[in-house]
Amino acid sequence: MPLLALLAKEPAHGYELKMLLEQIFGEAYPSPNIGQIYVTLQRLERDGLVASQDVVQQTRPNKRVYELTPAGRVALANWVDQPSEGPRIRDDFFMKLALSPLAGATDRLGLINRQRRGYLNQMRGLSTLAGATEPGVARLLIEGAILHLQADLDWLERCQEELV
Amino acid sequence: MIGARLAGGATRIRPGVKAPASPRPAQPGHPVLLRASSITKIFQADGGQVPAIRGVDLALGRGQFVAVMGPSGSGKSTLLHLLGGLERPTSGEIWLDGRRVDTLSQARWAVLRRRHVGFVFQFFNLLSNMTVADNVELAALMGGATRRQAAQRRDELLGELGLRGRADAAPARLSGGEQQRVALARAMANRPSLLLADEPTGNLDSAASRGVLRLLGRAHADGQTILLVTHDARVASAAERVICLSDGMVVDDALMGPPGPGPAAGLTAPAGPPSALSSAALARVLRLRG
Repeated sequence: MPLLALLAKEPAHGYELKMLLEQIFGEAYPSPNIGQIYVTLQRLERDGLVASQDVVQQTRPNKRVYELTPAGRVALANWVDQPSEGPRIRDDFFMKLALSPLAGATDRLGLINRQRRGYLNQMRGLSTLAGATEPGVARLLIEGAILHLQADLDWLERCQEELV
Repeated sequence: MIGARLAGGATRIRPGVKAPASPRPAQPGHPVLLRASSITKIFQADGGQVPAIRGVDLALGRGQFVAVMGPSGSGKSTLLHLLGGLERPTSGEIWLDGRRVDTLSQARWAVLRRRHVGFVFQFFNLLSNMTVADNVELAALMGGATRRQAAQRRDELLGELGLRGRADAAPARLSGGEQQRVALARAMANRPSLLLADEPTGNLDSAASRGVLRLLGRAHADGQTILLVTHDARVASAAERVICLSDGMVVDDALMGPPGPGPAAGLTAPAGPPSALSSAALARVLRLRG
């Protein structure tokens, strides 16, 4: 979907799309590598959401330029209009918490403590990154990650109250 | 098992290992500024006894920046009040800078707080018949500053916390977040060697929180010792040591290492200034969250 949105303004080739993503999100979002972008574009083309044509270049190999199809515009508009689903509970840790007694590990407090330390370390990194990022969409994304992490820590506290 | 987790020093949790007989400072190189030995606090309520602190051993190194976390009702604020002399422990001892303080009278404690211990209350406790500026300046004067120094310190702190425009206002005219920052400015006015703060960012939006964090970071860099109670993980993650309370007892005491996304990071690494995340590590964190 992000690629469709980028193509809504004007046709572009794969490398331009990668540059655009980097320009908008900066360090806040790991930009996909060029291979991933081409694979996605091929899939979108197969689904009829984008169309492409080769543009002949004099001194370099031809480049393939992609543009949105009418079906692509509809799909993009639908995506923008729909509310997004909330983040799912990341359940890997919860699985450990719930199931580790079966594996003979009974120190749930230790498990929770280790997880908290891990979260706090992540928070440190995000906090540093937020401080080094100019206001804008990139920083908003980092702030979102910080709020999610805060919720994870609050929830960890609940687990501790309830289970330990 | 629980006994093993009461170790006063910051240690990895090793179930089955006995707690050391006396609390240790968290790190070599930090002489102890504040030490609590086996303190308890039992409140009398409705004819019954409610234990709020149930045997805490704690040694705070000079210059350390420590955060206390834990669910509400776990005893965080009570612990802070005991360490700041606002309440007297039911049993146990508290030593500040080599001197036993839990037995001091309220009057002696008041002198100690004026000079050496800054306290930020959860509910601010500002003097309502004085302006914001005077609240801060008075604290500096009572701490022994000259008029000129006090005025300078006041301007510095109000500026740092984005309150310069509110200097002449009465505290009651301020929002909760502004009052909270004034309370912090007041507590820091006399450059206390020990700063105790109860949820210093509890009422703040993220921009104001950043201001508070910056100020705390600078105080830490200046060598002040900071102990704060917080739910705010950003604040806690800025500390070099995080203590978790549950049910009136210490259940975790961790030295924070450099930032990293893995749960294993920082468990045993020495505390240090935060370093930049590697882009691969960052990618992992953000993808988890994205």
